Amino acid sequence: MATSNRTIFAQNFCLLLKLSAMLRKLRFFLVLIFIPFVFTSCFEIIEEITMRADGSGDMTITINLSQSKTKVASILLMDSINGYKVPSKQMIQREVNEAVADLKKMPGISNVKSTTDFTNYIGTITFSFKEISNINNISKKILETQKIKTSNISTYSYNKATATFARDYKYYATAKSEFNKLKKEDKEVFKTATYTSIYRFANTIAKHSNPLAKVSKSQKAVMQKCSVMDLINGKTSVTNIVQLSK
Amino acid sequence: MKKIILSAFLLSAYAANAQDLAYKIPKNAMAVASVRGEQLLQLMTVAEFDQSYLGKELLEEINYSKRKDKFKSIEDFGIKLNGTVYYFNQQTDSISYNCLLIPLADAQKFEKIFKQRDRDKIVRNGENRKLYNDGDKALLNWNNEFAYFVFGDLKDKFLEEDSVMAERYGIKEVNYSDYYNNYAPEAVEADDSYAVDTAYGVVEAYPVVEATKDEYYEGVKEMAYEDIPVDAPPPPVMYVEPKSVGIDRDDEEDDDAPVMVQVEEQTDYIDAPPVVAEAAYDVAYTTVEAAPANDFNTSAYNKAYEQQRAIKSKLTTDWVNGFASKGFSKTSINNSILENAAYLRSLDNSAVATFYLSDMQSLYTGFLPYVSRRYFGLSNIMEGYGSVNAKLFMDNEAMRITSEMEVDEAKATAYKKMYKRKPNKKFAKYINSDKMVGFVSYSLDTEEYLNEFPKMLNSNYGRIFGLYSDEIGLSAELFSLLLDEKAVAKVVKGDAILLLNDIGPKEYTYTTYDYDDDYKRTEVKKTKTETLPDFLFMMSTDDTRLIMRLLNYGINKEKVTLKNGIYTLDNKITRGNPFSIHVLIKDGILFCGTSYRDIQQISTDNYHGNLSKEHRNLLLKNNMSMLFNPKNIVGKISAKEFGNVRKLTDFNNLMGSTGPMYARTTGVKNNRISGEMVAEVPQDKVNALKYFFSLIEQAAKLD
Repeated sequence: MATSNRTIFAQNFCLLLKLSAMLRKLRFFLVLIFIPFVFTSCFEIIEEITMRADGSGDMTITINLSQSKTKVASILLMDSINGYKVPSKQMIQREVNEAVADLKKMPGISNVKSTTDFTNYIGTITFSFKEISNINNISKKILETQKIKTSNISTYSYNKATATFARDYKYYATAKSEFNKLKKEDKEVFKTATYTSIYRFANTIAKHSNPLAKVSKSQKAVMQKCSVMDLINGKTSVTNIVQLSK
Repeated sequence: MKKIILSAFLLSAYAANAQDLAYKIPKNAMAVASVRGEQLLQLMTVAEFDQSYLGKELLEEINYSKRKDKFKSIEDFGIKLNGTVYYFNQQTDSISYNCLLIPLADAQKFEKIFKQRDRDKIVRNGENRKLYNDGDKALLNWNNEFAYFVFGDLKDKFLEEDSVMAERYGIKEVNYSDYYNNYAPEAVEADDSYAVDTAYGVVEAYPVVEATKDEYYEGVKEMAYEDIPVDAPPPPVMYVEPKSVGIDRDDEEDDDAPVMVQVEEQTDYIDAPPVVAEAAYDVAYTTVEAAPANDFNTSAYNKAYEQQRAIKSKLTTDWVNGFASKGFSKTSINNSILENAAYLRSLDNSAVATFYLSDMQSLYTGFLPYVSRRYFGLSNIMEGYGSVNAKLFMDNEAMRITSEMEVDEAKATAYKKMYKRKPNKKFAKYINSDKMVGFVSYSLDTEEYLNEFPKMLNSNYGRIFGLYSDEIGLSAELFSLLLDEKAVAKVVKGDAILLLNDIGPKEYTYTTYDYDDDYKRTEVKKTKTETLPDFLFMMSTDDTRLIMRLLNYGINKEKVTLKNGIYTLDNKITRGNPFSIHVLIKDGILFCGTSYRDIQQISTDNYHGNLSKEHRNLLLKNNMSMLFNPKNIVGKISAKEFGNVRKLTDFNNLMGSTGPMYARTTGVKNNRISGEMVAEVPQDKVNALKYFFSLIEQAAKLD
């Protein structure tokens, strides 16, 4: 089949040359229009944990590029941008599937599900954990995969006896230095990006340590919203110790 | 050094009629490009070039910090700036030569371009000088008049896969896997040492692998260059006289040139490299024992690999040396490109640069694997397409590239029939030159195309897969039988235009989240304004029934909505596309657009088009045309979306100072398909070259 296509291409060389030129010009127009400001894109990352009283729970991670969907759609029309290869939708889906498959193998992790919405460009991964420390293994695994050597790993913990939930966030100084290595236009991508963490509990919250986090009206959830840039620069910490009512 | 050679080529920009070097290019060169410095100097003086952004960058690049004798001007490069610089490519089955011919004004100055460590390697023989580079694949010869650079790229696959060539030179493919399990490597041979005997008698050490204690390495330390008879490795491409046998005529003119004896019985086809004494390549090794079987033999693999590398390296050096010597010493125009009528057609005294490609087939063959050509008949795949030429003109009004491709009678007739249609004149009613950023249009006769397609399918499939020619012929007949060409041509007449109509703010909805008292999130839709382009696609159609049925099918499936005669495609159909698509069929035209307002106005005859005369001619008189008008982008993008005001200002300045650009092709005339690309010079710029330089400078500011 591939050979047939190649032959047809050769036979109709001139015609196709012009047609492809036409398409290239269309792509050229799109690139021309979008290139200058694709890097001012907005996106949000949302981390949600719902804790049950027995220490088990559910976690959902959402990446929402909906606000930048026109730009993302344009970028996906390109082969590469700013020196980076643009992945195809199939490739993105494959990566997500692989991540899901890896998660399913992790101890204590179950009900792993994912969604990818290529209309609004929203992706989610949801899973249940037997105990919250199972999430820490995921962090370790990711760091191993990325070949990042650090003993300074952010962790989650839950002490049933004291009814204390702790998100111990560790700032990686290398994040800033790695970020600074990026080209100026690449840095722009993160400028308006936001990170939101939401932790929900079965009992009400008696107190919490991070003043930037806000407790919900029901007193059973705490939320913190910050810019990704502040996290990269170490200006904001998302460490929070939540003491639940007994 | 490559960088410097490239710079020199660009500069050469500024290179002679007094001493035009074209006669040194073989008659059957595959591609030739030339840059005429004389023309460029009329547009920009040397001093102006030196002061330009590009000039400063070039001088800065070449004046590296440790350079003692800094260059103050491109004149210091020793290149004859009012001369013509040539690039050409010559192909054989075994090797590809990329060559540069640069006229020199001052050879002493020219040498200073090289770094001291390169200058120390220069081999001098009277006024002739030579310098090897890049593992001896590249050779630069020069005298007081000109420099001749040859880079040879061996075609490994051909040499490995062609049994005659493989046997002649002892070349074989070395696979890592062959050295695993039960594999006893073939006996290999070794020699103590070898040296390179260049054409000027200079001997250099030529280590192939570093010696190790491993017995399997022992045999392959080096290879004896002296063992190769002087006349053994002739260059594979010669200035061949039909049916000539014997010594090349140019050699007769220069007794000092290396003796390159070649037996040549070809007429006009460049064959693979001619005979090289077998002894040169397979006697130089002594036998060593085979490696033990049943496990991977690293040393045997390395040895075999190094042997092959050494053979190939030596072949390349020999052929490059021979080829370069031939061209360098050539003095007559006989069998030169100047006797090639197709090449001469590519020349134009007023052109700044020219390009010539001998034929499409050569280009295509160069990229095809040898096996495909030999066993699948693909070597004729571009039959019917002849030479290609392009010319670059620069004057006070515009920068213009014209090009044409020769086709044979059969193809010319077919294309003439296909291209007889011109775009629908009604398209012009719906274009507004004042806001339109650009368009791409295309026009062919669908019926004629469908009539011609089976013929082309038949001839090419038949040729490529000879075994299945009957089946292919049958398929072509079936194709023709099944298709009602007239009926198809009524639905899709063959002319269409894609317009980038405007750029402006548009509202779109996006998804985000609201949180309840428990911070449980719910998806909400919000709106945002963003600058987006408006596209309008128009296509002629006489029979809208099929399109209507498709749209109505979409309505039944709730993927399309219909309101006031305008169909709007659901976002799920256009997913991945940032635009809503609205469809209208009116007056024999299918309209697809992103602007509902425009489509609505077209629907109610309230659209006010305003196509300028130039744009109308460009669109309606050509089979294919393209226009880009950057001025119509200026001021339409907000600073907020652009990131910052300064960048937006630079962007607007660049777009505002860029003149319109267009391209077109008019179809087939005198068995030639021709086209041109034009970039108009804005009124505030003196000429095309200075305009071009200013654009580069402004574009650099955007970084």
